[in-house]
Amino acid sequence: MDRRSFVKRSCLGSVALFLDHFGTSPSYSEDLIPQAPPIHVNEPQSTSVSPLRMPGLYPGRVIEIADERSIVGNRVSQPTIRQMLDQAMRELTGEKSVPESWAKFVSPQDVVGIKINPSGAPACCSSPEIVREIVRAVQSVGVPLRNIVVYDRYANEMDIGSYQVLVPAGVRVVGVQQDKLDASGYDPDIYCEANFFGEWETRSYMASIVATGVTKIINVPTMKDHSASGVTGCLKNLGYGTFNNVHRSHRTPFSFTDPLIGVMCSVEPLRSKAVLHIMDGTRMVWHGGPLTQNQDFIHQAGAMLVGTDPVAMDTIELEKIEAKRSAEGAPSVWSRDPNSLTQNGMEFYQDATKNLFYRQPHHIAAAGKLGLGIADLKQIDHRLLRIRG
Amino acid sequence: MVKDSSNRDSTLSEKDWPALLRDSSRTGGQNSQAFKKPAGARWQAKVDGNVRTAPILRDRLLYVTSLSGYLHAIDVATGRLRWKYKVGAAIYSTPSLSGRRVLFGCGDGNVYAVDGEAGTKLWNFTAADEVWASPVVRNDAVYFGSADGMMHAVEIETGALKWKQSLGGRIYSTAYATEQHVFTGCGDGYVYSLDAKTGKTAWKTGTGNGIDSSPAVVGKAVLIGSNDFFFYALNVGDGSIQWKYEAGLGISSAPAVSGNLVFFGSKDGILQALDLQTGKLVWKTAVGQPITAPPVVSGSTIWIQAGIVHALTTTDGKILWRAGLGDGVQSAPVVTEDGVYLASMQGDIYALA
Repeated sequence: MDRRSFVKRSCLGSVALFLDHFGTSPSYSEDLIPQAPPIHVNEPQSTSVSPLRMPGLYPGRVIEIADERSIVGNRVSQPTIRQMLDQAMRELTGEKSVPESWAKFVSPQDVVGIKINPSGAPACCSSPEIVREIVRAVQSVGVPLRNIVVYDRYANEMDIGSYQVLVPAGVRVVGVQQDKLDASGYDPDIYCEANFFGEWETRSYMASIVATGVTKIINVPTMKDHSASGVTGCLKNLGYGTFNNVHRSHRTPFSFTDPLIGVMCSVEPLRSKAVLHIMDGTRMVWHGGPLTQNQDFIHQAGAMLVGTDPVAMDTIELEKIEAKRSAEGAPSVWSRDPNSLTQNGMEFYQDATKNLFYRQPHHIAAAGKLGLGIADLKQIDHRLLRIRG
Repeated sequence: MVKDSSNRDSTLSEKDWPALLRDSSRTGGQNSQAFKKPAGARWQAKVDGNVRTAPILRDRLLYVTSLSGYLHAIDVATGRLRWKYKVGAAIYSTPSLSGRRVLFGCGDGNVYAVDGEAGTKLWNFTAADEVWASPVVRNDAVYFGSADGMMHAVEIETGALKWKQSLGGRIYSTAYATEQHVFTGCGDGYVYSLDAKTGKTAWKTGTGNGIDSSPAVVGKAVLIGSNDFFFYALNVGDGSIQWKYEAGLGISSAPAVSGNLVFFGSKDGILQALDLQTGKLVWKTAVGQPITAPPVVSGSTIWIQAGIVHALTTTDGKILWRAGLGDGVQSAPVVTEDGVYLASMQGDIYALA
């Protein structure tokens, strides 16, 4: 990639992107949601297209692996996680050996970023046990510990999760920004620009660690409902976890996570570097995401999703969260009932029928439209491996 | 420095607070008098950068470290900055005082000794990785761990290495030093007792996950929490488990001790008081935010910074009052007879009186 050469492109707003998706959800009414403005992207010019770039080596393939022993009493079992991850990686790649399956994604020369999701820590965040197993696997391919970086945007959330002490010595642990206004860790040349609500800063910049610090990214999202985007999974963890100044895309009750999440994930070099996604579904937040600490809404699901296609994985995640919400008597994340809205955060965190925004689960299909993966359930190769439970 | 049998510095004035949780006794920085509910802020100051550490106080100067790499000295009479000293990386280490030296670790792997009056460097020692723990001084040695898994002892006068000992994981726990031994938690899930003179391991006791809580030693017990959700009392002599108590999530908070009670917070937002002898729960109170900071005791009041500042009674955990001084507070207050000094995550420093 030539860092001196940048290109600009524009993405149309949500209605233009998803016109043919309307009507697929009976409760959806587009009239309630204002149209998103165009989003302008400034990104490095790609000189070649990597086969690993999203949707990666296995478009549409999602490995779901479950073992009830993986989480007991809120404690995650690392030996069980190891067994689950090894089996899922073999199933995803078709390789017989675990190191060979990992070698499809990383090589000894890589600097590997492990993008965790610590928002919601400590109640629900990327399990350190999964991160440790990923470190072990990456190391088995020949990547030295000093070239493995566990990172996220918010240092304070990583502190609460104790990631610094819980990963092996030698691995770097990096929080990109120290507070909401700290922009020092971002690349001024790579950005998405849009004016959603008349905000004074209309750009969101890519984290430098993604732009230039790592060569590969292993994405480790959590399985959560999200008050604005519907769910947060692979796409949101990557997009909103890479660019700054993203909170501006919500203003209650509206959110432009659709289409901003997908647009951000399409920006190079993020798209090329994010080669593998391992979704932590040991815990599933079915209401109150992304920050809830309320254990009433955190189901110990004991599962994990593995794949290279973030759109297909998030589509499966959405199905699972919808099913859980339905079983618990909570409204669908597709609901557009104005009576369910509240501006009282405490009410939202205590009542599964309330929400802060009109959720935007369409952001997943939007990302599919941008070429990031497959959102049509009929086309998704969803393989369920159940070890126990 | 004169210390009594509990490792408490008996020469300290109640206006001084020279280390995390007041002094090396690490029993909560206990003042003899309860501090009444503050009427308001006597002053408010802003330091350069965010703060993840506890302030310390001596001779009317408040020392505060920040993520912008500054050690600040603030005059507590006025709230004005006396001086600030810049180092090469973020500081997550609560400073400690020994004589005129202000000691702190840094993300650049150094431990610095800075003259507390002049704000000039006296020495630095370079470890192989970042130092988040607070340096602990005992006799002529400074003890601290680093993220490369190494425990160090250096000379207090010069910063020269006395010994270093490799442990099994990253070290973010602030050590507790006695005459004979140094105790610390470690990322490998073990609590270590090291010989203070040589660094040789006397014993180690495993827990179920990594440890970033800092130990306190009271009587024959080493008290420490773990990310395995348990709080432990270990025999100081051999590391055997005297009792353990299960919390709802991991424990990063260092304990405070007052009388026969030990207090600590857990990440599920619960502040707990246990019987020191038995480990039985005496009371617990939900404060509404994850707790990672240590509690501080003054008289019959216990203070905890978790999201906001909470003051509770030590006897039954009843919340006396709360103060919303900025969000995401993760520090620990300095409680003196004159007032309370505390730092918010955003770098606001408050003097309450």
